[in-house]
Amino acid sequence: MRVAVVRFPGSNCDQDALHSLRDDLGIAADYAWHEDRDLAGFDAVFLPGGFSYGDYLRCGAIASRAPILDEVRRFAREGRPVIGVCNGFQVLCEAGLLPGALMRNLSEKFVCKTVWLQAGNRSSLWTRGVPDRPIAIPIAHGEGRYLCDEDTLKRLQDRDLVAFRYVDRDGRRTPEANPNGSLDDIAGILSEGGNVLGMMPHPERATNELLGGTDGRTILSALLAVRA
Amino acid sequence: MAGRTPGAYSNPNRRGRKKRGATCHNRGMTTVRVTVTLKPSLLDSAGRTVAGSLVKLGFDEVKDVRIGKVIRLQLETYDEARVRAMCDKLLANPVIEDYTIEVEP
Repeated sequence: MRVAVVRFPGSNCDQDALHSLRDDLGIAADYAWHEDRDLAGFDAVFLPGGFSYGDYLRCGAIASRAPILDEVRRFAREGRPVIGVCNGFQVLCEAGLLPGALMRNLSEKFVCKTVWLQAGNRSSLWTRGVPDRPIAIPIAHGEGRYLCDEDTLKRLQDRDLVAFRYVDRDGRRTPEANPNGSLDDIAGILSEGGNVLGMMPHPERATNELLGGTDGRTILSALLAVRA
Repeated sequence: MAGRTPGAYSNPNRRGRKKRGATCHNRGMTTVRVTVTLKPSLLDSAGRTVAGSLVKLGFDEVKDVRIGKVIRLQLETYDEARVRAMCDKLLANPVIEDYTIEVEP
């Protein structure tokens, strides 16, 4: 198992992701460049956070048209693990690999803090190791308000494709626990096949006690169980 | 963007053909204005903040503000279908946005 951490101009969580995977989880990982056209030798893709292309036009819009996305699409299609965190989630939505869109936080403020998440699905490739209790994962975004049309929302709910919802420490869904106004308190969603996960919170920032917690491991350690 | 499905949008007007249509004052260029707006059903949080600020400044006739963006394209040749393709492919996100296309005089 070897993970490609894709760098776009303006990515800024790429080093965190690589460090978390390699040093905290012991997973082989290397950078890939947004202009690469071949991810041969890799088994999974991590689209990191940041401000790819300065968030010009729309967050993730330009990155989602980069050459490497053809390979990311192939990985998604072939059932390989693909995760997009924060800006990476925005890229996956803009690319059409996940439904919906991410809009400006309702507060119009950049929010940077640790939030609690409850898994809405605990059987997919990405979520089967997540415990049935709130997990603490940091967020840092200005445009994380998830939005989709009613039919899409119903489909996400009916097929258990809502990976995570914002909750309070006790697992209750309250307006205060939702940091950005996301529809249905959605923090992350899965593709139909469950192998593509997009989420605004940063699991790679929660894989080491020295950094305040290890709940992110419950998500990223899914990669350890995947056969290359 | 470079390299995506090369040829799929190759320009049929490029070779040996005069620019079509009127409105080509700017050295033979056509200026097209694409206006991208949030779908009416969606909450425009920035617009709401601006509306609140205008009301605080005494403009209490303001009941709603919606913010969009204007993208001006200088085109060697104008073909509305191709500008639509630009909008659908990159300039607007159909999940959240609508757009209009106008040729500037």
